[in-house]
Order: sequence, then structure tokens, then C-alpha cells
Amino acid sequence: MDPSVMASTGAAVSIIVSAIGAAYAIASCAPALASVTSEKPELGSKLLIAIILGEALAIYGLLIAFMIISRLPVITTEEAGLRGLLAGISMGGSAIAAGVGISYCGPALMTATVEKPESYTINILGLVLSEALAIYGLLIAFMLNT
Amino acid sequence: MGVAHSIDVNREQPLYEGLLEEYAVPCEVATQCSDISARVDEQLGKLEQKPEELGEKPPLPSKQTLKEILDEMEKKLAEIEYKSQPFIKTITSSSYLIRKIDQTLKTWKIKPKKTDAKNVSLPERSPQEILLNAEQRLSELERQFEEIDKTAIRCSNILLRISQFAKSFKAKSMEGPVQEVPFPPGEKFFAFVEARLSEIGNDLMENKSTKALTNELLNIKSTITHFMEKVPEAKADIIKQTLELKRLVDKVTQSIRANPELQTICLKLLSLREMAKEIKLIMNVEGNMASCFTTVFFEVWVPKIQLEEVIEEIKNITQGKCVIEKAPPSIEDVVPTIIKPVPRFFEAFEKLTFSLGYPRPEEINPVLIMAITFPFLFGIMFADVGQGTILLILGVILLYFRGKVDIEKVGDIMRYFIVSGGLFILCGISAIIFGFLFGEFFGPSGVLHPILLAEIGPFQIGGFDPMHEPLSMLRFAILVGVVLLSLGLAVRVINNVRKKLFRSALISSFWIWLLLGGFVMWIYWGGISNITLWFAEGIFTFLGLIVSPVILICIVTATTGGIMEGIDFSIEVLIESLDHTISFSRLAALFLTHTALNQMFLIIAGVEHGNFTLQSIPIIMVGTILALSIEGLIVFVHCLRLHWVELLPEFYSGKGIPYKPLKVK
Repeated sequence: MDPSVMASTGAAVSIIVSAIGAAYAIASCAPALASVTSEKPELGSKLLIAIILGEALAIYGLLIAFMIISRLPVITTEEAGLRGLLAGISMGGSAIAAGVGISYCGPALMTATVEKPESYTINILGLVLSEALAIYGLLIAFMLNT
Repeated sequence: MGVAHSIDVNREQPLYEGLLEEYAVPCEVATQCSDISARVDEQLGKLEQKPEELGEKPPLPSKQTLKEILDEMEKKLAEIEYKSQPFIKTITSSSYLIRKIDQTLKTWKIKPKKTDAKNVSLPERSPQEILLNAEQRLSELERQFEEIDKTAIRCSNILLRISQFAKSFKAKSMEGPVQEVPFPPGEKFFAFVEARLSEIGNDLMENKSTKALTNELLNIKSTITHFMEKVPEAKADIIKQTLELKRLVDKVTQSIRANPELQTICLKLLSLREMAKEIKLIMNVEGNMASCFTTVFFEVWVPKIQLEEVIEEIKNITQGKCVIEKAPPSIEDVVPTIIKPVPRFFEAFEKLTFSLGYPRPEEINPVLIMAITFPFLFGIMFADVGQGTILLILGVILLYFRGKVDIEKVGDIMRYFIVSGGLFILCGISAIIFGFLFGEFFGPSGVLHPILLAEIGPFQIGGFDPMHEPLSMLRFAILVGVVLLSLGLAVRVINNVRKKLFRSALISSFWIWLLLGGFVMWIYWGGISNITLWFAEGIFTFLGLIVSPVILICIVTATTGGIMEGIDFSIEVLIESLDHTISFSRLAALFLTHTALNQMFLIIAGVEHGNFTLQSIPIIMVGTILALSIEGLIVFVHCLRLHWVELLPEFYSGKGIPYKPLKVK
């Protein structure tokens, strides 16, 4: 296959799959946030973080896609093209994984915080750890693409 | 008195064989107290005063029991109630009058404007008289207004009739002389005019159209028209007078409010309110004590410095009829921690640290440690001279507003921001420093070149472009992680020594050995991928640096908990060291994310070799806003995570209880 086509496919996979992961995370966190804020509006600012972290997944995908595209002129060998493709796949896959994690941890965090606000600090860790999965994928994708 | 708040009586067990019953504050005392506070509130409401907090707490009356104190307070309250009677009367009547004036103005369809009562001089009479006069004046004005309204209606009716007549005859000139009649004309005048008109009408029916009749008709018409013209003016005059009246009443109200006697009454009421609150607090505390008719039993935490003072005070109060037992905390006790206040500049760090939990008494309070490490890590991930400067400016602005704004009165998000002015400043400075090290100015724009700070073995601190050498950045992140983790472990050793847990201190020192040893192995043999070399050529260093600390940790743990626990714990230590160190690689990842995000906008804007063209600035601004908001938040959360999961638990339990002393005057 043409190297630049492979790399472009990588970029497309990166952004599409990351966006799906972000959407999955947001789609389960936002309704939970809505129901929580209808009871306790003052918690909204605290709990908004779940949605922001979900949204960040799409930004990571966008970054990798953008980096691959900006490198397209220098991707001439088969190997470089394959690396671009794999970078996209690793970013997308880890974003999906992080999205699944956030979609479970976010609503749980919200419902727990409504009952016991002091448990927020402990429960946020699950969310941040899920988000870290995407960061690991991002790191590897960076390295693959350089 | 400095008696601690945690009064601990074990209620579960039937102690003292039923001698001590559970003490409850007598019902009547509790009711009396709430009764007094309700009466005070009611009185304040009647005087139209806001129940405010007093800056200084008034001393309670010096009586022996709560009952006597409450009786005293009740007596005072009754006195005040008697004194405030006349004021209540005037205030009620004045506010009633103001309401009435507003209502009147509303029926006249005038919006009650804000009146300025500064330029009104009060007549030399008592406020009651002024108010009485004002009320009379108001009803007079209302009557006049009604009369004018009536006049207007009558006038328009008459004009209608005249215009009907005007059809039946043709007058050449519509102007006639105006009759001088005082305004508003009375009922008599209208009756006369109407009678005259019907006469004229009759005459007209009989076609007796003469010049005299026409003239008279014209005369009447112009007079009435003249009245009609006068109506708005008269109305405006009355409204003006009413507003003046309102101003006067406002002034009177103000003068009543400014009355020193009333102010002393209010002050007394407020102080009574505070006293009632304090008595409630005391009753709450007494509810935690055990007592029978003659004896009261309680346990308190007291700081060592205040111990003698408190004992002296208790002896004074009880006149020596007391038994005091001083006991140092036993091992099982959870001793409350006296938390020293930190400067306001660091209050955000205090909040972040104490979200994890409060320190134990022996532990070093990690707020100031966090104030160094947090901006440090933030700066690595957010390294950028331009955006760091924006953060710094933002922090200075927030710090400026911190002194001006009452943080209780702003919204939730604003409060977080205003409190964290110091955090913004420190993070901004750190971001600027690391921005210089990695050559970032609104992304890798080429304005700055990376500055090499130092080179330690394979590690470069600054002096490379992380976008092109991500592995150097990763190495740098791991270096930072190992340094911070070993510092954390060093603090843990100090804490263990302070807690007199020497065995744990020994384990922690072995842990530092393991961590640094593993790090050296990693550098020397080029990572875990060359692990075969670790066992071949490097077997002795491997034994010395990794195996021996693990075995020592295992042995030391086994001396207390058995060999299985020792193995268990040493494996845990091994995994944790590896895990926590690798976790710091997120520093590199987030740095690269930040840089790549900025680079994206730089490419879109077409910035090359540090030439920021004019049309690139809006795009760079969008990128900066995105980086500062979303990226900044993510970096912040990861910074927090690094502290809460990796760094702080190394030396910080977060299981302490803050010492909140009971303050009674």
C-alpha cells in the first residue's frame, strides 16, 4: 500500500475512534451530571471534570491525527506509513478504553458525591486513572510517529 | 478556656454501675434559650434591623448556672422590649406611611423613584407629630387629586355637550374671553354651568340663536378648556408634593434609625442573640458530659502548652472541688492535630492537601512541601513562557481581588479561582522557567531556543526540543519522578522517627536504597529491555542494588509479622516503586500534548521561525484560550493525581483529626 495512504488511514482511525470514545464517555456522564445538578446545583462545577476529561479524549485523537497529517510529506517509506497507521490505531484504541472507564467511573463518582461530598477526593482517582489510559496510548503514538 | 472539643464519654457501656446517668440539659433550660433567641429575632424584625453577626463576642453574665444566666438575659430582654416600644410604634407607622405613599403613587400610575432625603430639613417637632401631619397631608393630597380627576371628567363632559351644540349653530370665532374662576372649580360652579347649558340648549332648540347666547357659549367653552389645560399641571404639582412628603418621611425614618438610643437597643439585642448562640453551644457540649446531681465527668484534649492554664481555670471555676487526671495519649488514641495556619498565599495548597485528609500530630504538614512540588510538576507539563506569563498575570489579579472581595458572597467557581491566586502565580513562574528550558513561547514557535541547565549522565535538564526527542523528555520525566519519590521517602523516614517507629524508618531507608538502586541499574544497563545483561555482567550490581534491599525489607517486616507477610510486603514495595516511577512518565506525555496542541495552532496560523504575523494572532489566541482552559485543567488534575496517589501517600497518612478548640469567654 502507498505509505501516505497508510498514514492518512492512521490519522482517520485516530480521530474517529477517539471521538467515539469521547462520545461514549460524555453520553453516560452528562445525563448523570444533569440529574445530579437538578438536586444539588452547587456540585455542578466540581463534577464537570468528568465531562471535560471525556472531551479531552477527542482532543488527544485530534492531536495525533494532526501530527500524522503534518508529517505526511516526509512519510515516504513503507515503514513510516505503517508507523503512522499504528500510531493512529494505538491512540484510538486507548481512547476507547479510557472512554469506557470514564463512562463507568463518572456517573458512579457523581452519585457518590451527592450522598457524601467528602468521598469526592477518593472517587475522582478512578476517573483520572481511566483518563491516564488514553495518555499512555498518546505517549506511544507520539513515539511511533516520530 | 482552652478545653478541647472532643469530649469523649463512652455511652455504650454501663459505666460506674449506673451512678452516672447520661446527662441531658433540662428541657426547660433548652426551651428558655430558644425562646429568648426567638424573641430577640422577633424584636429585631419589628425594629426592621437585620440580624447581623457581631464582630466581638459579648461576655456572658457572670452567674453560676445556665438557668441563672438565662434568667438574667430574660430580664434584660424584657427591659429592652419595654424601652423599644415607642420606637417600634414610630417605625411601624413610618414604614406604613411609606408603603401607603408608594401605593398611592402606584394608583396614580407613577413609578416610585428613589428619593434622596439629603436636602430635606426636618421641622422641629417630634417624629410622631411629623408622621401624623404627614399622614393628614397625604389624605389631603389624595382628596385633591381625586377632585382634579373629577374636574377633568366633568370638563370633558361639558366640552362634549358644547361641541354637540356647535353643530346646530355656526360660530365664526372659537375663542372667547376666559372667566377668572379659582382652580379647581367647586361643585357649585359645575352645577351652574350645566344648568346654564341646558337652558342654552332649550333656547337653541327653539332656534333663538342670538349673538349673546353664542358669546356665552364661547365664554363657557374657553373657560372649561382653560381648566382642562390646567389639569396636568395641577396633577404634577400634587405628585411633586407627594414625593416631597415621601422624602420627608424617609428623612424621619433615617433620623429614627440614627437615634443613638435605638442603636444601643439594637446592639444590646444583637449581643443577646450572640449570647443565646453561645449558650446553645455550651448546652451542646454539656450534652456530651456525663453527670449525676452532684458530679460532672468529662474528658478533653488539651494542648501541652495550655495544660497548666486549663487545669488552673477548671480549679478556679469549681473552687477546687475537682479531680483532674492528666494522662498522655495512649497508643490507640487518635490524637487531634493542631494545624498551624499557613499564609494566605498558600491557602489553595492547604485546601488541596486537606482534601486528602488531615495530618497526624507527628507528621510533617505537607502543605509547604506541596507548595513547592505542585508548581514544579505543573510547570514541567505546562512549560510555556507566554502562557506562563498569562497565568502569572491572572494570579496577580486574583490575589489583588482576594483582599477586596468577600469570598462567602461569590459563586462557587469564582471562589475557587479567587482563593487560588497564589497557586496561579507559582504555577505561572514555574511554567515560565521550564518554558525557557524547553524553548517554548506559545508553543515551539522558534522564538526561544532551549537552554541547557545541566547534564547528568544520560539526562539532560533542558536544552533539547522534546517534540523531536521525546525519549529525552521521557528520561527527564523519570528522573524527576525518582528524585521526588526519594524525597518523599526521606520525609517518610523523618515521620517514622518522629512517630518512634524505628523499624518502619529502617524499611523506608531500605526502600530509598531500592528505588535509587533500580534507577542506577536502569541507567547503567539501558533499561529493562536489556534485562539479560542484568543477570550476566551486572549480576553483582544487581544483587547489591536491588536484591539486597528487597531481602532486608522482607527480613525486617518478617520480624514482626511472620515470613509470609515479609514476602508479601517486599513484593508490594517492588511493584509500587516500579509503578510509581513509571507513572511519572505522564509528565512527558502531557508536556508533548501541550506542545503538540500549541504547534497545531502555530501551523494553522502559519507562524514560522518565530515570526508572529498580524493575521496569526487571532488563531494563536484561540489556541491559547483552549490550552489555558482545557489543557490547563487536565494538567492540573494530573498534577493533583501525582500528589494524591504517588507522592503524598509516601509520607502522609491523612488520617488525623483537626483540633478544633472550644472557645468560651
